[in-house]
Amino acid sequence: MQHEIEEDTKNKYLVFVLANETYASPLLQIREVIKIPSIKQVPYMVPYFKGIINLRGQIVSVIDLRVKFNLKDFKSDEGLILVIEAKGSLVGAIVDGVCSVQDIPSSDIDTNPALETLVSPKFFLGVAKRSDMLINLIDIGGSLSSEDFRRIKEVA
Amino acid sequence: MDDFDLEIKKDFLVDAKGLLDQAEGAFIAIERGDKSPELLNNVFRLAHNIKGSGMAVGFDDLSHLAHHLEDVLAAIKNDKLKVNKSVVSVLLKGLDGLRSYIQGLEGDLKFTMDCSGINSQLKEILSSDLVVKVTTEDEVVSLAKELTQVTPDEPESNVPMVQKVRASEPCDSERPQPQRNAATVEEFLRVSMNKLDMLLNNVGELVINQSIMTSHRHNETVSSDHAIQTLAYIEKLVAEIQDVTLTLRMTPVRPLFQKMNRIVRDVSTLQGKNILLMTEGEHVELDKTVIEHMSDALTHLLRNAADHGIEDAEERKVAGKSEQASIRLSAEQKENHIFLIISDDGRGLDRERILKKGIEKGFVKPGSELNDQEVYSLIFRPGFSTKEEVTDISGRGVGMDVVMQTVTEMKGDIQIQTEKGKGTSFIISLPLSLSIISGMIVRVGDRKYVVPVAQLLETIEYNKVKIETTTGIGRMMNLRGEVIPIYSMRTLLGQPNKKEACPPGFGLVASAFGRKVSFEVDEIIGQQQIVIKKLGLELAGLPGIVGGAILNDGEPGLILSLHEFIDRRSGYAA
Repeated sequence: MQHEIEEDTKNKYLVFVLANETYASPLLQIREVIKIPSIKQVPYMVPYFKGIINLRGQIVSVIDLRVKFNLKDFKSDEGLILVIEAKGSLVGAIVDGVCSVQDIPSSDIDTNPALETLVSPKFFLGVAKRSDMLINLIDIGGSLSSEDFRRIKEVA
Repeated sequence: MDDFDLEIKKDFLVDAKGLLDQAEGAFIAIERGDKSPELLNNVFRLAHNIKGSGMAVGFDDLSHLAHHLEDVLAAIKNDKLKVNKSVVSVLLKGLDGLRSYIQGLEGDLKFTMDCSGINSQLKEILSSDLVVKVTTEDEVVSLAKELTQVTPDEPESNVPMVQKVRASEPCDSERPQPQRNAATVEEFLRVSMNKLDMLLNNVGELVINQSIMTSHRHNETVSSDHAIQTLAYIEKLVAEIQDVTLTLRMTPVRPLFQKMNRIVRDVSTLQGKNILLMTEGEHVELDKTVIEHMSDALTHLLRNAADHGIEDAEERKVAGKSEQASIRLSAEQKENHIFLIISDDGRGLDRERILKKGIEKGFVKPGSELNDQEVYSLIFRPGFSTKEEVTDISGRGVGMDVVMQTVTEMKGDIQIQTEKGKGTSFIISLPLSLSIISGMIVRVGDRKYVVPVAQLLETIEYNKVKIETTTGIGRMMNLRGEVIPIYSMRTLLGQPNKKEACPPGFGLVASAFGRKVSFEVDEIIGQQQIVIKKLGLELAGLPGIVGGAILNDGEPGLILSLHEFIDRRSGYAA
């Protein structure tokens, strides 16, 4: 049963938009997509760490991927939050919009294009060639869980 | 090893640990001369149980040791063996053997230990002159049969009377970790059936009422009164569910107190003192985490009381005190706090000696005037010990500073009451629950934060006190003759400073590590019961931020620790 599910969703990606560019991440990493609720700021954090939200009683940190990737062309009060399961805890990532869920077989993915990408190569999964466009595939869970968003470090 | 096998082995270890704790209390009661058949039957059954179940799940050596213990207990039960201190000591040694074996198995299910030493000691008892008549194997068997109504020889007999509730995610148990205390065994909590039934009942009611609400939505003829009524009922149910859920983590302090019996017994035996430990309020319940953390601290306080507090027989005689010294360990609940009190009738703390030592160690400036409480609390300073020689009993492991640290971590407090020649009492107050606190909601800039009310001494309005600014030192205020520094919360939390024209804010006065500080906030909004929420790992270790909360308006907020800001070592203080 478990295997069937994995087989079924292995090639499924959630396609989303960040400032006119198209990205996709493995669907299994994304738990839900929500509208942006009221976000409360947290001191000592990097500018793209937007703050915390109340997700049905759980406190979840939210990162604005558009600020993080230095994109210019967006409206900061618009967008959606992808709630991502990263290393057992939840992190929210703000994107401009969500397009679709697509089946992308691994044969369609070029894992080694000579491209400059926004994410570190470690979390860049490749470029998917679709009939009408190219989609950047990123391991969004891995990227968010390995990063340190603190502006000041612990004084130990 | 298949899953089922693993499961029953782990279950056995969890149960056996509980049985050992019970047995320990019983052994000490036996030593005190309690020979009620009920007690003896009970303790025999405990050993029998461990033997039987241990064998059934394949821990043969462990079961063997329990078997030897059982033989001795059978002899005591049948009045074939006179009980004296040395017999009980060997029994306790056997118990320790079982305990360390089980600890080993928890780390690694293939753990083995050489038990031949203790086995032969147990055997020796049965051939010593204390024996009235040697107990034969048959008698043990017949005894076991006598008890079979209660405990058949199968492991199924171990079905506990209470349900087990999963307290944590199962650990990776396929790969036993080599180090000790590695938690291959899942943590369990004994929860009374009663509480679970209440919870189930309430949740059932909640589901019914929720479906009533849903049907209201589809049925426009229903009056809004009816809907409001249902909603009110749901609110009540939710409150009840919250109450019951919080008590699930609470367990009685009884096992903790029983453990202390052993500590006092060991110290008094070693030093030839005659000490009676009296316990009170064993039924009082505390959060399981608090009980686990307090165990070491309590052990230290009791060892200390028995070792340093209680005088030796000679000294007591001279002072005209009864030969039998007593230590009282009690627990009681008052409002939202649990008090653990350890009092002895020993020599009391020596104020002069503590003060002298404090000056020697540089904790106190010579000539400074300290009140009693300030002098006595010197013993909680790291590196403070008035007993010149380090004894085997009190002079190792945790010290008084660790006791203080533990209590502070549990958001509690310690008070000392002492009278020279009459005795000393340590009064520990702990919050009832670690997951709910009373919080003061304050505004700093445009953000709201929560401050635990327990940390606040008082709140003040700055325009009602005299504030002085000293270049290089910062702002100070004069509060009833006491000079207290003012820290700006805005600065601490990295928000832009106020413009001069703004009205002066409010001060939260807190004290920690012997320093009193006032924190300036823009507004005090009000108090609220706060359920502490975990923050994600990405927010761990932020200075002064200890958790998150959902405020009354449904918005998330951060919980600040003023004590952490005061702590100079952290280096964040202004």
